[in-house]
Amino acid sequence: MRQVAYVDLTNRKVTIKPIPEDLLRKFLGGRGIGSYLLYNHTTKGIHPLSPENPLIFSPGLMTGQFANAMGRCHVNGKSPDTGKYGDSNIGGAFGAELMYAGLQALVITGKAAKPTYLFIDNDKIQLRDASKLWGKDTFQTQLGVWDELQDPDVKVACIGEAGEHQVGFACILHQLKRSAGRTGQGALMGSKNLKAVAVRGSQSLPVKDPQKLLEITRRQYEYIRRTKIFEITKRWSNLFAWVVNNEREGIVVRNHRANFYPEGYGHLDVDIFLDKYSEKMLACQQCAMHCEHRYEVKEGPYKGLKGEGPEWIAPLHFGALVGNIHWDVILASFEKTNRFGIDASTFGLYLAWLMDIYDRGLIGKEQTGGIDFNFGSAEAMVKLPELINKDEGIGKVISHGADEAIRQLGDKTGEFLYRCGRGLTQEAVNDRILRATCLGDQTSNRGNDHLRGRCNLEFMGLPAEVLSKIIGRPTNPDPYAWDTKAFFAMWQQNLNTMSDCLGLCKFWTQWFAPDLFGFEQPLEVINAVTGWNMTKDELWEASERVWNMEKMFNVRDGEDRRHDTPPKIFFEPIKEGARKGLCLEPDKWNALLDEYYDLRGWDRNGIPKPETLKRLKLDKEPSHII
Amino acid sequence: MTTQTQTAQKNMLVNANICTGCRLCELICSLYKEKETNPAKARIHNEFYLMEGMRVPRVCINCTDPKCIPACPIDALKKDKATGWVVMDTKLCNDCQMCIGACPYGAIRLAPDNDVIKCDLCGGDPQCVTMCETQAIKFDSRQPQKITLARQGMKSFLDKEITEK
Repeated sequence: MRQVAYVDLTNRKVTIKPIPEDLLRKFLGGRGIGSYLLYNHTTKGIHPLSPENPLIFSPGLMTGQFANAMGRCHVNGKSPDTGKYGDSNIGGAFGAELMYAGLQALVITGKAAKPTYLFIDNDKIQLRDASKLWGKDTFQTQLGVWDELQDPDVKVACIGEAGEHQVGFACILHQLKRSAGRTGQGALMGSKNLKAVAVRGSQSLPVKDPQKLLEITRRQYEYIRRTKIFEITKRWSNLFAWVVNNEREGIVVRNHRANFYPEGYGHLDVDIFLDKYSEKMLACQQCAMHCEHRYEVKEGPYKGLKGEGPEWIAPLHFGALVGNIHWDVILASFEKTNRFGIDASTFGLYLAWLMDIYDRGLIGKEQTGGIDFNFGSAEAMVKLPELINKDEGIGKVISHGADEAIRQLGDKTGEFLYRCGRGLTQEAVNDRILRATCLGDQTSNRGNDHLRGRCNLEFMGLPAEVLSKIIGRPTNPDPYAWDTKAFFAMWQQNLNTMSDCLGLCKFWTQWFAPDLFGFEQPLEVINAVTGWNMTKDELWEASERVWNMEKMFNVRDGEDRRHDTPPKIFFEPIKEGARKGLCLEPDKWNALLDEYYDLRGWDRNGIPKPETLKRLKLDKEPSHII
Repeated sequence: MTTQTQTAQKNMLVNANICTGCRLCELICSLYKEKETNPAKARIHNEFYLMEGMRVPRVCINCTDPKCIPACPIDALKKDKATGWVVMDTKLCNDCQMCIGACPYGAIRLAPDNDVIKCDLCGGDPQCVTMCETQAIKFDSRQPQKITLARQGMKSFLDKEITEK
C-alpha cells in the first residue's frame, strides 16, 4: 500500500495515511498526486509564504521500480515567485529513496519554531534540530546531515542560504546539481524554517509480474540505446540543443536584442567544454542515458573549480542571454547558483535584465554597488549569486519578486523584464517563430515552460506522415503554419504530464526525439508493476485530469484568458536575420487559443466547463480523500 | 601467479571510474533474485562519494585469496576450484555477519531482514552486467591486465580520499 505522510511543523505532528488505489489510478503519482494534494490542502488566495501553503514532495508512480529513467520526484507548492500554481521536478535518487521509505507523497505544512530538518528513516519520521546547518550552502548542508546521521547513503534535498532568505527563485537542491528550480520552491521551504529533508529507505516495492517487468525494461533499454539521440545525449548531454537552437535563431540573445549568437562560435562550442572541462558522466536514478557532466576547471582564475552538470541552460542563460563567451565564467557562475540553492534559469534571466537596463543607463553603479553590469561582465556573473545568497545590495533588490524589483529600480526598467501572463520570467527561447511550441509553453500552468509545452518535434523537419502518426492526428510539420497546432500542443502537454506523473525523464520521450517513448511504452511498465490493465485512453485521460486539476488551482485564484498571453515582445516582428519579420499575429494567436480551449473543453475565457470536469471526474473536487 | 585455469575463468570485473551511479544493477538484481524492487536487498551496492563525483559498485569480485572464507566460523563459504567463485551455502549460513566485516571491498551485504546476502553471479549469467551501459561492471575472463586496471581505478580513488583527509 502506497502511503502519504503529513508533517505539521508548527505542532511537530506526523501522520501517515494510506492512499486508496483508485485515487492513485486516477491521478497516478508525482505531479498528479502532488497537484491533487495541493488543491485539497489549500484554500483560495493563501499567501505563498504562509505556513498554510504546503510543500509537497511526490515521487513518480514508477519511481524506484526497475523501469528505465523513471526515477524522478515532483515538488508542489503555491509559487512564491508568481503567486500561482507552482511545481518543479527533481532528478537524482531522492524520489526513489522516498519510495523505498514507503512514501508516495510527503506533505509538509506549518512553520517550525527554529531551524529544523526532517529525517525519514522508513516509517520513522523525526524533526531534528538544524541550527548548525542554518546559514550553510547546499553542499555543506548535505555533508553536515551525513556527518550527523553517520550515513552518507542518506539522500538529502535541501536549501541554501538563498532559500533561508526566501529569495523568490530559490531552488531545492539534491546532490550537486539536481534541483527543483523554477517557481521558487526553495523559498517556500525556507519560509517553513525547514533546511533539509533526509531520507533513508529499505522497504520493497511490490511488482505484480516480475518476469514481465524484467522483459519489458530490458527490451526498452536495448531499443533506446540503439537510437541516435541516446548516443548523442550520453556524450554531450543536452548541451547540443543550445547549438541547434542557436543555428535556427530560436534563442534569445542579450535580453531579446537578437536571436542569433555568432560570437559563441569558437568559444561556447560544446566540444570545447567536452575537451577542456568534462571529466566523466554521471546519471540519475535508474537511467542508462547518463547525461550529467562532472567537470573540473584546470586553469585560469577559476582553477580547481569542480561541479556537475551544465545543461543547455548554462551556455544559453549564462552565455548568449548575457553576452558572455567564456566557458569558465559560465561554470564559475553556474556552480555558485547550485551551491547557494538559486535557480540557475531564473537567475540568468534577471542577470540579463540587469545588464540590459544598465546598458540603457536606467541604473548605474550606485544601484549595483560598484559592480560592472555591462553585457558579458564576468564580475557581475560571479558576484551576483553571492549578493543574492547574502540578500544584500542589488541581489536583494531582485530577490523578492519582479514587481518589487521594478518598483525599486524604476517603472521604465519594467519594460525590459519579459514575463509571461502568469508572471514568470520568460525563458530565453524565441517562441514567436513557432506555433505549437508557443501555445504549449504559454498555456503551461506554472508559467512559460519548455518542459511542459515545448514541441521539439515541430521544428525537426519530420515528414507529415511521420509527425501525424506520432501525434495521432493529421499534423502540419511546417513550424510557421497555424493549422493543426492546437492539438499538437495539447498532445505534447499531456505527454509531458504523463512523464512527470510516472517519474519518467523527458529525455526518454517523444518530447526529445521522434523515436523515443510515447504513451505505449510507459503503459506497459505500469501494467506489469500494478496489474491494472490500464489502456492508453485511460492514461491519456489521467494526464488530462492532472492538467485540469492544476488549472483549477489557478482558476480558483481568479485566473482567466489573460494569463495565457505571451510577453509583449513576441508580438513584435523580429528585426534582423533569417527569420526577419516573423512574429505572433494577435488575430491568429487568439484563434489558436480558442481552438486550444475547445480541445481542452474550456470556455473562451480559459475556464474548464462543468461538463469537462464531470467527464474527468473532477466535479467533486476538493474531495479530501487524502 | 596467475595460472592457466584462472585465466580461463570468468569473473566480475569492476571499474569504478566509469560507473555513472544509475543503480540499474541494484534494481535488476533485487527484482531477479527477490521478485520485488529493493536496492537494500540487492547483491550489488552502489556507494556514492558525492562530493568527489565517484560512484563505486560494491560487488563480490571473487578474490584469489578471499578474506571472507577463513572468517566464516561454520564453513558456509567456499572457493569453487572449477569456476574460481566464492560460493555461499545459504542453507548453512546463520547470518552471523563475520564475513561482512572481513571483506575489504564491502561486497557482502546485510539485507533489511538481517539476511546476509552475497553475489552468486546468477549461476554464471549475471543479470546486472546486462544493464550496465558504460560496462563499469563486466563479466569477463580473469585476464591479469584487466584486473589491474580495475583495481587501479579503485585504488587511485581510495588513495586520493585518504590523502585529502
